[in-house]
Amino acid sequence: MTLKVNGKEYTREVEAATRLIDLLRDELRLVGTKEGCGKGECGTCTVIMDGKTVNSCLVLAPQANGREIVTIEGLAPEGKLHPLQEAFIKKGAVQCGYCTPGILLSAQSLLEKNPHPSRDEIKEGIAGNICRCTGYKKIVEAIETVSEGREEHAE
Amino acid sequence: MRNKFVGKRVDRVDARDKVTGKALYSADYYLDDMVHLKVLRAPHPHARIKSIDVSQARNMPGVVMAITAEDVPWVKNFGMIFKDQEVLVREKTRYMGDALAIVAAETESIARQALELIEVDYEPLPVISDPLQAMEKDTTYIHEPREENCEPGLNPGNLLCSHRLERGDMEKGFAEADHVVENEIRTPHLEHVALQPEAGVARYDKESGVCTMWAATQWLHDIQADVAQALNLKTEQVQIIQPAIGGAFGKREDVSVHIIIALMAILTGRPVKLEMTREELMITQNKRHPIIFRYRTGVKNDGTITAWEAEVIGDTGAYASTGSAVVHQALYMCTGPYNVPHLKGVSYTVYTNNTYAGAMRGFGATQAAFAYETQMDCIAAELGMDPVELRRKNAYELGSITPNGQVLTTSVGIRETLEKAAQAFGYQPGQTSREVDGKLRGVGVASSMFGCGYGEGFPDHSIADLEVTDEGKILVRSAAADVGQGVLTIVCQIVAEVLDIPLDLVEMAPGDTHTTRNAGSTSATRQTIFSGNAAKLAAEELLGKIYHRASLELAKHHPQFLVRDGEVILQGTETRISLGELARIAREKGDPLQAEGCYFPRTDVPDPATGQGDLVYVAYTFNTHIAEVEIDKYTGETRVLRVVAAPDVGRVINLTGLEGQSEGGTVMGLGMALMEKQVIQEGITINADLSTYLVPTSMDMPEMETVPVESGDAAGPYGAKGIGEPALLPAAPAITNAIYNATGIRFFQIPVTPDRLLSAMQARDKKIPKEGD
Repeated sequence: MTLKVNGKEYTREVEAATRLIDLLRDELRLVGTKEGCGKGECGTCTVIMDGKTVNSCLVLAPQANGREIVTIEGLAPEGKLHPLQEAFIKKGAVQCGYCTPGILLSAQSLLEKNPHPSRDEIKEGIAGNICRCTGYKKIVEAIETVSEGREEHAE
Repeated sequence: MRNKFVGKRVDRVDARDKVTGKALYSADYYLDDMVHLKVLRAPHPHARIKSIDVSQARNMPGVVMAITAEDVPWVKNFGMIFKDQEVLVREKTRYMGDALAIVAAETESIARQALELIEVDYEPLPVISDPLQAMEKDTTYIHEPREENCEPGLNPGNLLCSHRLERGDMEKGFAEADHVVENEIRTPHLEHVALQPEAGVARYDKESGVCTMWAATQWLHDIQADVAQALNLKTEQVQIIQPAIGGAFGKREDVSVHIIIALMAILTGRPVKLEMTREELMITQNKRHPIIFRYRTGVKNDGTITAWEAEVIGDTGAYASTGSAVVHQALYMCTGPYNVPHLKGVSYTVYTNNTYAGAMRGFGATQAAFAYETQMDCIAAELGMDPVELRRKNAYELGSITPNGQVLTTSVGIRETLEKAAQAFGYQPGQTSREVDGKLRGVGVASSMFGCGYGEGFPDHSIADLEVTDEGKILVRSAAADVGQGVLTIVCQIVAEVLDIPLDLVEMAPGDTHTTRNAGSTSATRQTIFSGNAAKLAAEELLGKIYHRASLELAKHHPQFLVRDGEVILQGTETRISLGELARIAREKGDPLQAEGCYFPRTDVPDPATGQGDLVYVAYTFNTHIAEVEIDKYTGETRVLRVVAAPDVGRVINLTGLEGQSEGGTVMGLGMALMEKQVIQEGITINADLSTYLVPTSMDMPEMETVPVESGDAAGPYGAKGIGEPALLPAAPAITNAIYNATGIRFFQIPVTPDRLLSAMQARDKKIPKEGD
C-alpha cells in the first residue's frame, strides 16, 4: 500500500488487520500519535485523513491506501510552531500532554472548516477528545485565541 | 524585592516537546530485537488454581517464552506498604487482575493469540464483594488470617487494619447539642483515567547485571526498590528512566508493568515491551477506594458543632496497596476544616475480591470531603441556616485544632476561601431553587482541608542537585515526577528566581534512578513544598558558592558582586565574569560549582490509640467551591453552569499552573458527582471501557473562575502549599449540594446520574417520603 503522511509518500507491505495507528507508530515511527483506548472512545489517536479527523485506532492501514494523512509531526514545518501549538503553550492548555497531539489536530481540522467558531462550536469540535488534566477551559481559550487571529503573551 | 519568576505566568518547560509530539512516553520507546509481552489474567475473582497448562502456547510459532509461577519460584511478593501481592499467582486468585502467566512473543499479536492457548483448571471459591460481609467473622478468608491485626469479632483474613481517633468527651459534646444529625454516606469505585495506558520497555545487560527500564512512575526510587526486592536484585541493578508521563492521579503510584518487564528482560535475554490495554488496566490496576461513612454530629441551634462521631469502612479490594493509609486519611480528615471539640472515630480497611484500591487524587480525603460536606449541608438544612454561614461559623482559624490534635499556627485560609468564593460568585445567602427557561437552578457550596506531604512521622524528603555547566547553564537533577501537574516548571522558576538567571538557562536532567536522587513521590500534594524547597535550598547554596568563587578569583568582597542574567558583575565597574567561565575555573581548582538541597521536615507519628499528635502534617491546603447547576425536570440531567474555586495555596508560584490544577480538579469532581462509577459486581467489572465508564468531555465543562487565597506563610518555598489534590476535593459535594438546593433531594451516594435524579424527582412529586438512594 502507498500513503502520504505529512507530505511524504510511503510504500509499505502490511497485514490486512494492521491498524493505521500501528503503521504510523511501529512502522513509520511517528510516535506523536498516541493510543489511549484502542476503541475510538478517547480521541487520543486522532489524525487528519484527507482533511477529516479520524481515530487512527479504528482505521485499518489498508483503508488509508492512497490517502493523505497529517499527524502531529506534520502540523508545522520542522523547527517551527503552528499558531495553535504556540497558543497551547502560552495559554497553559498542556499538562500531561498525552491528549495534546489529538486535540491539536481536531482543532486544526475545525479551524480549516470554520475559521471563526463560537465557543460552543469549539467545544463541539473537540468533544471527541478526552483530556483528564485541564478541565478543557484553557484548551478552548487557546483555540479561541487562534481563531480570533491574535496572540496573547504571558504577563 | 519583586519576584521575576515566582508568582508569574510561566510557560511549562516541557510544553514545546508535548505540542510537537516529540515528548516520549513509555510506549514510545522501541529497542532493537524487542519481544512483546502479554499477561494472562484471572478467569475468576476468587478461585483455587489447580493447574495452568502453557505447553500449547509455548509451541506456537513466534512465542519466545511462556511462564507461570512454577517457573519462577524465587520471585517475591510486592506492594507499597504490605508485600501481599504476587507477581504471578501461585495457589489462588483474589481478583480479576491477578496474573497467571506471561507470554513473550515476536509480535504483540502472537503474544495475544498465545494467551488463548493457555488452559487454566480452577475451583471457584465464594466471591466476597461487599466489605461489610468481608468483615464478618465467618466469611471466607481472602488472605491468610493474621490474628495480631484483628479486632475482636471481626474477620482475621479480611480485615487489613483499623485506626482510631479520639479527643474530648463525647457524652459532654452530645449533651451540649440541640440537634443530632446522623447519616450514612457512600462513595463508589472510581477509575483515574490517566490518558496514557500503563506500558514499559526494559532491557537487561548481562555484563553489568543492570536491568534498565523506561516506564512511568510517580516515585522512581520506591518502584526501583520494590522491583529489586521482588526479583532478588540489588537496588542498583534496577535502573528506571522516567519517560514523559501521560497523567497519573495516583494510578502510577503502584507497580504496574515494572516487575514483569524486568523479569522477562532477564529471563529472555532480549529487550521487552509490555503495553496494557485500557480494559486490562481498568480491571487490573488500583481504583479509588469505595468508602462508607457513618456520621453522628451534634450541633447547637446557633450552628456550633459540639461533637462528631465517625465510622469509616474502606474496601481496599484484593490487595493492600496504600489502602491502610488511604482509609485512615479518610478518618483523620473526617470532620473537615471545622472546629470540633469532641470527636471519636474508627476506620476499618477491608479486603474483598474487588479490584484492589490504592491512591487516587485526594487519597481518602476526597471521599471524606464528599461525606463531611454532605453532612454539613444536612446540618444547615436541619437548622434552617445558610450553608456558607454554617461553614464560616465553624471554620478553622489560627489556633484551631485538627482532628489529629495539631494546633494550626500558620497559613489557615479557610475563612478567606469562603469569603472570596462567595464574593466572586455573587453568592446570595439563603438562595433557594429558581426556575429559568423551564429548568431548575440551584447553588451549592463545599469546603475542604488536606494535609500536604506524607506526614504522620513517615520519612519524607526530597533532594535536588544543581550545577553550573561550562556553558553557563544551571543543570537541575531532581527525580520529582512531572505527571502533568508542572513540578519541573515550578522547580525551574525557583532556581531562576534565586540565581536571577533567565529561565531558558535552567535545564532539567531527565528523572533517572541512577543520576537523580530521591525526591519522594509525586503524591500527597507534596512536590511544590518538598522538591520546591529542595531546589530553593540547593540554589541558595549554589549562589553562595558562586559568590565565594568570584571573590577568590577577583580578590574582592562578596557585597561588591551582583549575580544576574548568568554573569557575576563587579558592581560599579565593567568587570564581569560569566557563570560558565567561573564554573570552568572552579572545576579546574577542584571545587566545582555544584550544590545540593535536601528538605526533610519533621512530623510526628500520631498516638495509635487516639490518632493525636503535635505536628502531623507540614501544611494544610484549604479550598472552597461554589457551584451553580441547572436541572432538566424531564430528563433528570444536571448541567453544571458555573464553579468558582478559591484555593488557599499559601503563595502562588505559577498562576497558569494553579488555574490548570483548579480547573482540572473541578472537572474531575464534576465527573465524580454526575457520571463516574466503576461498576464491580461479584468482583467483575462490567464497564471497563470509556463508553461505559464516562468522564467529562468539553461539552460538560462549566464556566470556571479561580480566585487564589495567599497567606504567604506556609512551609513551602516562598510560603507556598500544594494544590494538586485539594483542587478536586470540594468539587463533587459543591455540585451535589447545588442539586439539593435546586430540587430538595439529598443524595448520599454518587454519581447522581440522570436516571437516579429523575426517579427521585418523580418519587418526591408523588410524595413518597424518602428519596434519592
